[in-house]
Amino acid sequence: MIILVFESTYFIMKAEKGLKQTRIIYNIIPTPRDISSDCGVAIKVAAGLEERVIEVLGKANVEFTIRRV
Amino acid sequence: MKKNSDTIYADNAATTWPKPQCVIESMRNFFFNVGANPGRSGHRMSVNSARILFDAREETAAFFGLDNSQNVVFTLNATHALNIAIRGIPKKEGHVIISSFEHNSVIRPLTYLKEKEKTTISVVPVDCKGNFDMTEFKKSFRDNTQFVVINHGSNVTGAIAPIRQIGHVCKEKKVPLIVDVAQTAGTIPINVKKDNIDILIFTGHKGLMGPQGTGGLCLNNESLQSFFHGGTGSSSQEERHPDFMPDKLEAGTPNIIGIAGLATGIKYLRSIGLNTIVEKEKFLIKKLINGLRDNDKIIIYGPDSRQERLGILSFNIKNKAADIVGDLLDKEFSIMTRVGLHCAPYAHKSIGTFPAGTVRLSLSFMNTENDIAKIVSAVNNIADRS
Ligand SMILES: Cc1ncc(COP(=O)(O)O)c(C=O)c1O
Repeated sequence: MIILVFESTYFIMKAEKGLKQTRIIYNIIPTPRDISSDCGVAIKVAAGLEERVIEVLGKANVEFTIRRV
Repeated sequence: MKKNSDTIYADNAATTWPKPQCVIESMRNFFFNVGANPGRSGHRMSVNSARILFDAREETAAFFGLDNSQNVVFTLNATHALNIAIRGIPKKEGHVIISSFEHNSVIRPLTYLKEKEKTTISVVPVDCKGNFDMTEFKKSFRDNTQFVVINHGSNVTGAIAPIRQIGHVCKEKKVPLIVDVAQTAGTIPINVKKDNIDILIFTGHKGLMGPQGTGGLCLNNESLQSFFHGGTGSSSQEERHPDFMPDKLEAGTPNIIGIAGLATGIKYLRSIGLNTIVEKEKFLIKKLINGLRDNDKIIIYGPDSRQERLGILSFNIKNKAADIVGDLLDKEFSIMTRVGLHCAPYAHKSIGTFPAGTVRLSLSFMNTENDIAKIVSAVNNIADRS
Protein backbone atom coordinates (compact mmCIF):
# COMPACT_ATOMS: atom_id res chain seq x y z
CA MET A 1 0.00 0.00 0.00
CA ILE A 2 1.06 3.55 -0.46
CA ILE A 3 -0.27 6.50 1.44
CA LEU A 4 -0.50 9.92 -0.15
CA VAL A 5 -0.02 12.69 2.32
CA PHE A 6 -1.08 16.30 1.72
CA GLU A 7 -0.45 19.64 3.29
CA SER A 8 -4.10 20.58 3.48
CA THR A 9 -7.58 19.23 2.94
CA TYR A 10 -7.85 21.43 -0.12
CA PHE A 11 -5.26 19.26 -1.87
CA ILE A 12 -6.92 16.00 -0.81
CA MET A 13 -10.12 17.20 -2.43
CA LYS A 14 -8.28 18.29 -5.53
CA ALA A 15 -6.52 14.92 -5.64
CA GLU A 16 -9.86 13.16 -5.31
CA LYS A 17 -11.21 15.18 -8.22
CA GLY A 18 -8.28 13.94 -10.34
CA LEU A 19 -8.60 10.33 -9.16
CA LYS A 20 -12.34 10.23 -9.78
CA GLN A 21 -11.67 10.77 -13.45
CA THR A 22 -9.69 7.51 -13.55
CA ARG A 23 -10.44 3.92 -12.57
CA ILE A 24 -7.94 4.01 -9.72
CA ILE A 25 -9.42 2.64 -6.53
CA TYR A 26 -8.57 4.88 -3.61
CA ASN A 27 -9.60 5.25 -0.03
CA ILE A 28 -9.66 8.37 2.10
CA ILE A 29 -8.44 7.43 5.57
CA PRO A 30 -7.45 9.19 8.79
CA THR A 31 -3.68 9.66 8.55
CA PRO A 32 -1.93 6.75 10.35
CA ARG A 33 -0.30 7.88 13.57
CA ASP A 34 3.24 6.89 12.57
CA ILE A 35 3.14 9.21 9.59
CA SER A 36 3.56 12.69 10.84
CA SER A 37 1.15 14.29 8.50
CA ASP A 38 0.13 17.82 7.95
CA CYS A 39 -3.56 17.24 7.68
CA GLY A 40 -5.81 14.74 9.38
CA VAL A 41 -6.73 12.69 6.32
CA ALA A 42 -4.70 10.88 3.69
CA ILE A 43 -5.37 8.79 0.60
CA LYS A 44 -4.52 5.09 0.39
CA VAL A 45 -3.97 3.27 -2.91
CA ALA A 46 -2.46 -0.07 -3.95
CA ALA A 47 1.34 -0.04 -4.22
CA GLY A 48 1.35 -1.11 -7.86
CA LEU A 49 -0.42 2.09 -8.82
CA GLU A 50 2.30 4.44 -7.67
CA GLU A 51 3.47 5.57 -11.09
CA ARG A 52 -0.05 6.03 -12.39
CA VAL A 53 -1.02 8.04 -9.31
CA ILE A 54 2.00 10.31 -9.68
CA GLU A 55 1.01 10.95 -13.27
CA VAL A 56 -2.65 11.69 -12.46
CA LEU A 57 -1.93 13.95 -9.49
CA GLY A 58 0.85 15.70 -11.35
CA LYS A 59 -1.63 16.57 -14.08
CA ALA A 60 -4.10 17.79 -11.47
CA ASN A 61 -1.43 20.12 -10.04
CA VAL A 62 -1.59 18.61 -6.59
CA GLU A 63 1.29 18.72 -4.13
CA PHE A 64 1.76 15.55 -2.05
CA THR A 65 4.29 13.14 -0.62
CA ILE A 66 4.23 9.36 -0.80
CA ARG A 67 4.72 7.00 2.15
CA ARG A 68 5.09 3.30 1.58
CA VAL A 69 3.59 1.09 4.26
CA MET B 1 -39.29 29.81 -1.43
CA LYS B 2 -42.85 31.08 -1.63
CA LYS B 3 -43.24 34.56 -0.34
CA ASN B 4 -46.19 36.07 1.40
CA SER B 5 -48.31 37.28 -1.50
CA ASP B 6 -49.01 40.74 -0.06
CA THR B 7 -45.40 41.60 0.66
CA ILE B 8 -43.27 43.22 -2.00
CA TYR B 9 -39.63 42.92 -1.13
CA ALA B 10 -37.60 45.70 -2.80
CA ASP B 11 -34.55 45.70 -0.55
CA ASN B 12 -32.45 43.23 -2.50
CA ALA B 13 -29.34 45.42 -2.39
CA ALA B 14 -29.27 44.81 1.38
CA THR B 15 -29.84 41.08 0.96
CA THR B 16 -31.81 39.16 -1.63
CA TRP B 17 -35.12 37.60 -0.69
CA PRO B 18 -36.61 35.17 -1.34
CA LYS B 19 -33.78 32.71 -1.93
CA PRO B 20 -34.19 29.90 -4.48
CA GLN B 21 -35.76 26.75 -3.06
CA CYS B 22 -32.70 24.68 -4.03
CA VAL B 23 -30.51 26.86 -1.80
CA ILE B 24 -32.72 26.12 1.18
CA GLU B 25 -32.80 22.41 0.27
CA SER B 26 -29.00 22.20 0.13
CA MET B 27 -28.72 23.77 3.58
CA ARG B 28 -31.38 21.46 4.90
CA ASN B 29 -29.50 18.51 3.45
CA PHE B 30 -26.32 19.70 5.12
CA PHE B 31 -28.07 20.13 8.42
CA PHE B 32 -29.69 16.70 8.43
CA ASN B 33 -27.30 14.53 6.45
CA VAL B 34 -23.79 15.98 6.54
CA GLY B 35 -23.42 17.97 9.71
CA ALA B 36 -19.71 17.52 10.40
CA ASN B 37 -16.85 20.02 10.17
CA PRO B 38 -14.78 20.01 6.96
CA GLY B 39 -11.07 19.21 7.00
CA ARG B 40 -10.89 18.46 10.69
CA SER B 41 -11.59 14.78 11.26
CA GLY B 42 -10.95 11.65 9.22
CA HIS B 43 -14.43 10.12 9.27
CA ARG B 44 -16.68 10.06 6.26
CA MET B 45 -19.05 12.76 7.47
CA SER B 46 -16.14 15.16 7.80
CA VAL B 47 -14.80 14.14 4.39
CA ASN B 48 -18.24 14.78 2.89
CA SER B 49 -18.25 18.19 4.47
CA ALA B 50 -14.78 18.87 2.98
CA ARG B 51 -16.17 17.83 -0.42
CA ILE B 52 -18.91 20.44 -0.11
CA LEU B 53 -16.37 23.12 0.78
CA PHE B 54 -14.13 22.13 -2.13
CA ASP B 55 -17.04 22.12 -4.55
CA ALA B 56 -18.01 25.61 -3.36
CA ARG B 57 -14.48 26.86 -4.08
CA GLU B 58 -14.55 25.34 -7.55
CA GLU B 59 -17.98 26.84 -8.31
CA THR B 60 -16.89 30.27 -7.11
CA ALA B 61 -13.60 30.20 -9.04
CA ALA B 62 -15.38 29.16 -12.24
CA PHE B 63 -18.08 31.80 -11.75
CA PHE B 64 -15.53 34.63 -11.59
CA GLY B 65 -13.08 33.17 -14.14
CA LEU B 66 -10.34 32.46 -11.59
CA ASP B 67 -7.86 29.76 -12.69
CA ASN B 68 -7.09 28.21 -9.35
CA SER B 69 -9.77 27.53 -6.76
CA GLN B 70 -7.05 27.37 -4.12
CA ASN B 71 -7.19 31.16 -4.15
CA VAL B 72 -10.85 31.37 -3.18
CA VAL B 73 -11.16 32.33 0.49
CA PHE B 74 -14.49 32.16 2.28
CA THR B 75 -15.42 34.77 4.88
CA LEU B 76 -18.52 35.84 6.75
CA ASN B 77 -19.40 38.69 4.35
CA ALA B 78 -17.86 41.31 2.07
CA THR B 79 -16.87 43.47 5.02
CA HIS B 80 -14.80 40.65 6.52
CA ALA B 81 -13.19 40.02 3.11
CA LEU B 82 -12.43 43.72 2.62
CA ASN B 83 -10.73 43.86 6.01
CA ILE B 84 -8.58 40.85 5.10
CA ALA B 85 -7.58 42.49 1.81
CA ILE B 86 -7.05 46.02 3.07
CA ARG B 87 -5.15 44.94 6.16
CA GLY B 88 -3.28 42.20 4.29
CA ILE B 89 -1.19 44.57 2.19
CA PRO B 90 1.56 46.07 4.34
CA LYS B 91 1.40 49.81 4.44
CA LYS B 92 3.29 52.00 6.87
CA GLU B 93 2.72 55.51 5.61
CA GLY B 94 1.35 54.18 2.34
CA HIS B 95 -1.16 55.67 -0.03
CA VAL B 96 -4.46 54.24 -1.23
CA ILE B 97 -6.86 55.34 -3.98
CA ILE B 98 -10.61 54.81 -3.71
CA SER B 99 -13.67 56.20 -5.48
CA SER B 100 -16.26 58.47 -3.92
CA PHE B 101 -18.80 55.65 -4.14
CA GLU B 102 -17.21 53.33 -1.59
CA HIS B 103 -19.19 51.61 1.12
CA ASN B 104 -18.34 52.06 4.81
CA SER B 105 -16.81 48.56 4.69
CA VAL B 106 -13.97 50.23 2.73
CA ILE B 107 -14.00 53.70 4.27
CA ARG B 108 -13.87 52.55 7.89
CA PRO B 109 -10.95 50.07 7.65
CA LEU B 110 -9.06 52.77 5.72
CA THR B 111 -9.89 55.46 8.25
CA TYR B 112 -8.51 53.14 10.91
CA LEU B 113 -5.27 52.79 8.90
CA LYS B 114 -5.16 56.52 8.37
CA GLU B 115 -5.13 57.00 12.11
CA LYS B 116 -2.89 54.04 13.03
CA GLU B 117 -0.47 53.77 10.10
CA LYS B 118 -0.58 57.28 8.66
CA THR B 119 -2.04 55.88 5.44
CA THR B 120 -3.11 58.65 3.08
CA ILE B 121 -6.19 58.30 0.93
CA SER B 122 -7.11 59.87 -2.42
CA VAL B 123 -10.78 59.86 -3.31
CA VAL B 124 -11.53 59.90 -7.06
CA PRO B 125 -14.77 61.74 -7.76
CA VAL B 126 -17.73 59.94 -9.28
CA ASP B 127 -20.47 62.32 -10.39
CA CYS B 128 -24.19 62.06 -9.67
CA LYS B 129 -24.76 60.11 -12.91
CA GLY B 130 -22.08 57.63 -11.89
CA ASN B 131 -19.30 58.87 -14.23
CA PHE B 132 -15.89 57.97 -12.86
CA ASP B 133 -13.28 60.73 -13.30
CA MET B 134 -10.56 58.84 -15.18
CA THR B 135 -8.29 61.88 -15.56
CA GLU B 136 -8.33 62.58 -11.85
CA PHE B 137 -7.76 58.87 -11.20
CA LYS B 138 -4.61 58.74 -13.33
CA LYS B 139 -3.29 61.85 -11.60
CA SER B 140 -3.79 60.45 -8.11
CA PHE B 141 -1.08 57.75 -8.27
CA ARG B 142 2.02 58.38 -6.15
CA ASP B 143 5.28 56.53 -5.57
CA ASN B 144 3.90 54.98 -2.39
CA THR B 145 0.47 54.00 -3.77
CA GLN B 146 -0.13 50.50 -2.47
CA PHE B 147 -3.52 49.60 -3.85
CA VAL B 148 -6.75 50.87 -5.36
CA VAL B 149 -10.20 49.89 -4.11
CA ILE B 150 -13.23 50.40 -6.35
CA ASN B 151 -16.88 49.63 -5.75
CA HIS B 152 -18.03 47.96 -8.96
CA GLY B 153 -21.72 48.76 -8.59
CA SER B 154 -23.15 51.53 -6.47
CA ASN B 155 -25.51 50.35 -3.77
CA VAL B 156 -27.01 53.87 -3.76
CA THR B 157 -27.60 54.70 -7.43
CA GLY B 158 -27.02 51.43 -9.27
CA ALA B 159 -24.26 53.07 -11.36
CA ILE B 160 -21.59 50.71 -12.69
CA ALA B 161 -17.88 51.62 -12.49
CA PRO B 162 -15.66 51.05 -15.57
CA ILE B 163 -13.46 48.52 -13.77
CA ARG B 164 -11.90 47.10 -16.90
CA GLN B 165 -10.41 50.49 -17.80
CA ILE B 166 -9.54 51.21 -14.17
CA GLY B 167 -7.78 47.83 -14.01
CA HIS B 168 -5.90 48.65 -17.15
CA VAL B 169 -4.48 51.80 -15.57
CA CYS B 170 -3.61 49.86 -12.40
CA LYS B 171 -1.72 47.29 -14.48
CA GLU B 172 0.30 50.04 -16.15
CA LYS B 173 1.10 51.55 -12.77
CA LYS B 174 1.76 48.08 -11.26
CA VAL B 175 -0.61 48.73 -8.38
CA PRO B 176 -3.04 45.98 -7.32
CA LEU B 177 -6.75 46.61 -7.83
CA ILE B 178 -9.27 45.46 -5.24
CA VAL B 179 -12.81 45.40 -6.60
CA ASP B 180 -15.89 45.23 -4.38
CA VAL B 181 -18.48 43.26 -6.33
CA ALA B 182 -20.99 43.10 -3.47
CA GLN B 183 -23.70 44.55 -5.73
CA THR B 184 -22.63 43.15 -9.08
CA ALA B 185 -21.85 39.48 -8.39
CA GLY B 186 -24.79 37.58 -9.83
CA THR B 187 -26.27 40.67 -11.46
CA ILE B 188 -23.74 41.34 -14.23
CA PRO B 189 -21.01 39.08 -15.67
CA ILE B 190 -17.60 39.43 -14.01
CA ASN B 191 -14.32 37.80 -15.02
CA VAL B 192 -11.21 38.54 -12.97
CA LYS B 193 -8.94 38.19 -15.98
CA LYS B 194 -10.93 40.12 -18.57
CA ASP B 195 -11.86 42.79 -16.04
CA ASN B 196 -8.27 43.18 -14.76
CA ILE B 197 -9.19 42.45 -11.13
CA ASP B 198 -6.36 41.48 -8.77
CA ILE B 199 -8.45 40.92 -5.66
CA LEU B 200 -12.18 40.37 -5.99
CA ILE B 201 -14.37 40.86 -2.92
CA PHE B 202 -17.80 39.25 -2.93
CA THR B 203 -20.66 38.77 -0.55
CA GLY B 204 -22.75 35.62 -0.71
CA HIS B 205 -26.14 36.84 0.44
CA LYS B 206 -27.03 39.31 -2.31
CA GLY B 207 -26.95 38.49 -6.03
CA LEU B 208 -25.27 35.13 -5.50
CA MET B 209 -28.43 34.00 -3.67
CA GLY B 210 -26.67 32.41 -0.70
CA PRO B 211 -27.60 32.96 2.94
CA GLN B 212 -26.29 35.69 5.23
CA GLY B 213 -22.93 34.92 6.80
CA THR B 214 -21.20 34.07 3.51
CA GLY B 215 -18.75 36.00 1.36
CA GLY B 216 -15.12 35.90 0.36
CA LEU B 217 -12.17 36.91 -1.77
CA CYS B 218 -10.67 35.65 -5.01
CA LEU B 219 -6.96 36.32 -5.33
CA ASN B 220 -5.89 36.60 -8.95
CA ASN B 221 -2.11 36.24 -8.72
CA GLU B 222 -1.96 38.31 -5.56
CA SER B 223 -0.92 37.27 -2.09
CA LEU B 224 -1.93 38.79 1.22
CA GLN B 225 -0.52 38.74 4.73
CA SER B 226 -2.76 37.10 7.28
CA PHE B 227 -3.59 38.86 10.50
CA PHE B 228 -6.11 36.33 11.70
CA HIS B 229 -4.63 33.07 12.97
CA GLY B 230 -5.92 29.83 14.46
CA GLY B 231 -7.03 26.29 13.78
CA THR B 232 -7.12 25.08 10.18
CA GLY B 233 -7.04 21.30 10.52
CA SER B 234 -3.67 21.37 8.72
CA SER B 235 -0.09 21.50 10.09
CA SER B 236 -1.49 20.98 13.58
CA GLN B 237 1.98 20.23 14.93
CA GLU B 238 3.08 23.78 14.05
CA GLU B 239 2.53 26.70 16.36
CA ARG B 240 2.79 29.06 13.45
CA HIS B 241 -0.24 29.58 11.22
CA PRO B 242 0.20 27.89 7.80
CA ASP B 243 1.29 30.09 4.93
CA PHE B 244 -0.33 28.08 2.12
CA MET B 245 -3.65 28.94 0.58
CA PRO B 246 -6.49 28.79 1.37
CA ASP B 247 -5.65 27.89 5.00
CA LYS B 248 -3.45 30.97 5.31
CA LEU B 249 -6.44 33.28 5.18
CA GLU B 250 -9.06 31.01 6.76
CA ALA B 251 -8.87 30.21 10.47
CA GLY B 252 -11.50 28.55 12.59
CA THR B 253 -14.60 26.55 11.67
CA PRO B 254 -16.16 27.99 8.51
CA ASN B 255 -19.86 28.68 8.02
CA ILE B 256 -20.07 25.45 6.08
CA ILE B 257 -23.86 25.21 6.08
CA GLY B 258 -23.99 28.72 4.62
CA ILE B 259 -21.27 27.90 2.10
CA ALA B 260 -23.29 24.85 1.01
CA GLY B 261 -26.17 27.23 0.31
CA LEU B 262 -23.92 29.72 -1.47
CA ALA B 263 -22.51 27.04 -3.81
CA THR B 264 -26.06 26.01 -4.68
CA GLY B 265 -26.98 29.66 -5.28
CA ILE B 266 -24.15 29.99 -7.79
CA LYS B 267 -25.13 26.72 -9.50
CA TYR B 268 -28.67 28.03 -9.72
CA LEU B 269 -27.50 31.25 -11.41
CA ARG B 270 -25.48 29.16 -13.80
CA SER B 271 -28.48 26.99 -14.61
CA ILE B 272 -30.73 29.91 -15.53
CA GLY B 273 -27.89 31.87 -17.10
CA LEU B 274 -26.55 35.23 -16.01
CA ASN B 275 -27.75 36.86 -19.23
CA THR B 276 -31.34 35.91 -18.48
CA ILE B 277 -30.97 37.53 -15.06
CA VAL B 278 -29.37 40.67 -16.48
CA GLU B 279 -32.17 41.04 -19.04
CA LYS B 280 -34.92 40.48 -16.50
CA GLU B 281 -33.49 43.03 -14.08
CA LYS B 282 -32.95 45.56 -16.87
CA PHE B 283 -36.53 45.11 -17.99
CA LEU B 284 -37.91 45.55 -14.47
CA ILE B 285 -35.83 48.61 -13.55
CA LYS B 286 -36.71 50.30 -16.84
CA LYS B 287 -40.39 49.70 -16.19
CA LEU B 288 -39.99 51.12 -12.69
CA ILE B 289 -38.21 54.27 -13.88
CA ASN B 290 -40.72 54.79 -16.69
CA GLY B 291 -43.51 54.65 -14.17
CA LEU B 292 -41.98 57.27 -11.88
CA ARG B 293 -40.09 59.72 -14.06
CA ASP B 294 -43.04 61.72 -15.37
CA ASN B 295 -44.17 62.73 -11.91
CA ASP B 296 -42.46 66.06 -11.25
CA LYS B 297 -42.75 65.55 -7.50
CA ILE B 298 -40.42 62.55 -7.72
CA ILE B 299 -36.67 63.11 -7.98
CA ILE B 300 -34.75 60.16 -9.40
CA TYR B 301 -30.99 59.92 -8.84
CA GLY B 302 -28.24 58.15 -10.71
CA PRO B 303 -27.47 57.19 -14.30
CA ASP B 304 -29.69 58.54 -17.07
CA SER B 305 -31.69 56.28 -19.33
CA ARG B 306 -28.91 55.79 -21.89
CA GLN B 307 -26.47 54.50 -19.30
CA GLU B 308 -26.28 51.00 -17.86
CA ARG B 309 -27.48 50.53 -14.31
CA LEU B 310 -28.18 47.76 -11.85
CA GLY B 311 -31.69 47.05 -10.56
CA ILE B 312 -31.28 49.78 -7.97
CA LEU B 313 -33.10 53.10 -7.84
CA SER B 314 -32.72 55.91 -5.32
CA PHE B 315 -35.41 58.57 -5.24
CA ASN B 316 -36.95 61.27 -3.08
CA ILE B 317 -40.35 62.88 -3.06
CA LYS B 318 -40.24 66.68 -2.93
CA ASN B 319 -41.02 68.04 0.53
CA LYS B 320 -41.29 64.58 2.08
CA ALA B 321 -38.51 63.06 4.18
CA ALA B 322 -37.17 59.73 2.96
CA ASP B 323 -37.91 57.96 6.25
CA ILE B 324 -41.56 59.00 6.10
CA VAL B 325 -41.91 57.79 2.53
CA GLY B 326 -40.24 54.49 3.41
CA ASP B 327 -42.51 54.02 6.39
CA LEU B 328 -45.66 54.73 4.33
CA LEU B 329 -44.49 52.25 1.69
CA ASP B 330 -44.12 49.60 4.38
CA LYS B 331 -47.20 50.28 6.51
CA GLU B 332 -49.73 51.14 3.81
CA PHE B 333 -48.45 49.23 0.82
CA SER B 334 -46.33 46.38 2.27
CA ILE B 335 -43.37 47.46 0.14
CA MET B 336 -39.96 46.95 1.76
CA THR B 337 -37.35 49.60 0.92
CA ARG B 338 -34.32 51.01 2.61
CA VAL B 339 -34.10 54.69 3.46
CA GLY B 340 -31.19 56.87 4.59
CA LEU B 341 -27.52 56.73 3.66
CA HIS B 342 -27.13 53.02 2.83
CA CYS B 343 -23.72 52.85 4.57
CA ALA B 344 -22.29 55.05 1.81
CA PRO B 345 -22.02 58.65 3.02
CA TYR B 346 -19.53 59.63 0.28
CA ALA B 347 -21.91 58.45 -2.42
CA HIS B 348 -24.71 60.54 -0.96
CA LYS B 349 -22.40 63.54 -0.87
CA SER B 350 -21.67 62.93 -4.56
CA ILE B 351 -25.35 62.95 -5.51
CA GLY B 352 -26.23 65.82 -3.16
CA THR B 353 -28.41 63.87 -0.73
CA PHE B 354 -26.19 63.95 2.35
CA PRO B 355 -27.20 63.78 5.21
CA ALA B 356 -30.92 63.33 4.52
CA GLY B 357 -30.47 60.30 2.25
CA THR B 358 -32.90 58.74 -0.21
CA VAL B 359 -35.47 55.98 -0.50
CA ARG B 360 -33.89 53.03 -2.25
CA LEU B 361 -35.80 50.45 -4.26
CA SER B 362 -33.65 47.48 -5.16
CA LEU B 363 -34.86 44.56 -7.25
CA SER B 364 -33.83 41.03 -7.94
CA PHE B 365 -34.85 38.77 -10.82
CA MET B 366 -37.34 37.21 -8.39
CA ASN B 367 -39.43 40.40 -8.54
CA THR B 368 -42.35 40.39 -10.96
CA GLU B 369 -43.95 42.90 -13.32
CA ASN B 370 -46.86 42.94 -10.93
CA ASP B 371 -44.52 44.01 -8.11
CA ILE B 372 -43.31 46.89 -10.26
CA ALA B 373 -46.85 47.99 -11.11
CA LYS B 374 -47.74 48.05 -7.41
CA ILE B 375 -44.57 49.98 -6.49
CA VAL B 376 -45.19 52.54 -9.25
CA SER B 377 -48.74 53.06 -8.14
CA ALA B 378 -47.79 53.36 -4.44
CA VAL B 379 -44.94 55.83 -4.96
CA ASN B 380 -47.06 58.03 -7.25
CA ASN B 381 -49.89 57.87 -4.74
CA ILE B 382 -47.62 59.09 -1.92
CA ALA B 383 -46.08 61.79 -4.14
CA ASP B 384 -49.46 63.15 -5.16
CA ARG B 385 -50.67 63.60 -1.58
CA SER B 386 -50.52 67.20 -0.53
C1 LIG C 1 -21.05 48.11 -2.28
C2 LIG C 1 -21.09 47.30 -1.03
N1 LIG C 1 -19.96 46.91 -0.46
C3 LIG C 1 -19.94 46.16 0.67
C4 LIG C 1 -21.12 45.77 1.27
C5 LIG C 1 -21.01 44.98 2.54
O1 LIG C 1 -21.53 43.72 2.40
P1 LIG C 1 -21.68 42.79 3.71
O2 LIG C 1 -22.74 43.43 4.52
O3 LIG C 1 -22.06 41.46 3.17
O4 LIG C 1 -20.39 42.78 4.42
C6 LIG C 1 -22.34 46.14 0.69
C7 LIG C 1 -23.65 45.76 1.26
O5 LIG C 1 -24.04 45.97 2.36
C8 LIG C 1 -22.32 46.94 -0.47
O6 LIG C 1 -23.46 47.34 -1.03
